[in-house]
Amino acid sequence: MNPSGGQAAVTPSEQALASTATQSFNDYSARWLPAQDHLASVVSSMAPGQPSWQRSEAEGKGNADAAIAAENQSRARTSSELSHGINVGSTSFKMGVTGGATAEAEMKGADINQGNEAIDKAYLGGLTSITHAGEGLASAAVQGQSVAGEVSSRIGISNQQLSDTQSAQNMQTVGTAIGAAGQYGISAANAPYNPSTGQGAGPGYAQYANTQAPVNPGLQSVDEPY
Amino acid sequence: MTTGLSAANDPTGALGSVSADEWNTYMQHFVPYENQLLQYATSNAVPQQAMTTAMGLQQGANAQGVGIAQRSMAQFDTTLNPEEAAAQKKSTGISNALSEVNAGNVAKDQAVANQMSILGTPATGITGAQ
Repeated sequence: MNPSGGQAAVTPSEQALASTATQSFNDYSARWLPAQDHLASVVSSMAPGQPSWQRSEAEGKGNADAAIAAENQSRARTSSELSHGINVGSTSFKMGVTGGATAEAEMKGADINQGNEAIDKAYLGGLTSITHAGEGLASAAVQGQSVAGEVSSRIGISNQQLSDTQSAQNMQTVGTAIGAAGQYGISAANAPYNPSTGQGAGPGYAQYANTQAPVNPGLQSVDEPY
Repeated sequence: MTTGLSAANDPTGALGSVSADEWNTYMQHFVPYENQLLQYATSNAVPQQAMTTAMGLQQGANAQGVGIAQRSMAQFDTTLNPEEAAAQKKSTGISNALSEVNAGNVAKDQAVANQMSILGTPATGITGAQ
């Protein structure tokens, strides 16, 4: 209420609120937004139909794992056949060998496809985390709560790490690739920005990396509780 | 970065500026990825692309079978006679065809399940949970 009937005076609370909101958004823009952008670029590179190191690694690991399993099966089969008196030159033995080769190739294909599909899931999980963070920021924009964007990004990146870890545990054939994808994304939040590689948390991160959260000067000037 | 308005002199304007900056950030940094997710969820091409990719990968792996068989036979210093080679070719051809069709069907089912999961239908989770 303004008894003079003119323009309302700015209260310390209003100043503090606006100051906090401004600083919070600036802090988010400097530290979390670059990390979010980095995660988004990593996730986006895993899109279906695009060549990516995660997809290549997952497929390659599936191929190698299948080859190891097939080699063990081949040795067991050969040992069993020889112990049962089947000669190496016999048709039975030779058809067993060729059949084993066909099975190995098919198993490789199945494992490669499994790795490929796991990267699809990691890609979608990453996009889902990013959209959740975006929801928080969009909600903050219309409600004037700048801090919500940062909180949402923290949760989104954390969820992405959990998602990748879960995928890695469930899909052991591609665990290396997915785990690495998650670490690659998460590392942005933990590493200083490197201009030559474009990796890291951004130029604004370094000033906060080993310090406590910046003190809000607006709160210091407030003499009323709120 | 919000710098234009003073929170001390014009707090209402400063809050409005922050709100506008947040919305612009959302539009520039998040909406493109939301659109990627929506594109995946609603595109009829996604299951077909998944099928094509999976069948191609399976076909490529199957093509290794001939070389694997030859190396395996060489290990035992033996070779297939013409009748055995014909039988092996027939068997491998059938097996390869089946595996390629199966790979395509599995990939299509998974892609559709992914799409349904994004759109809210309780289907297979997209985070890797089986």
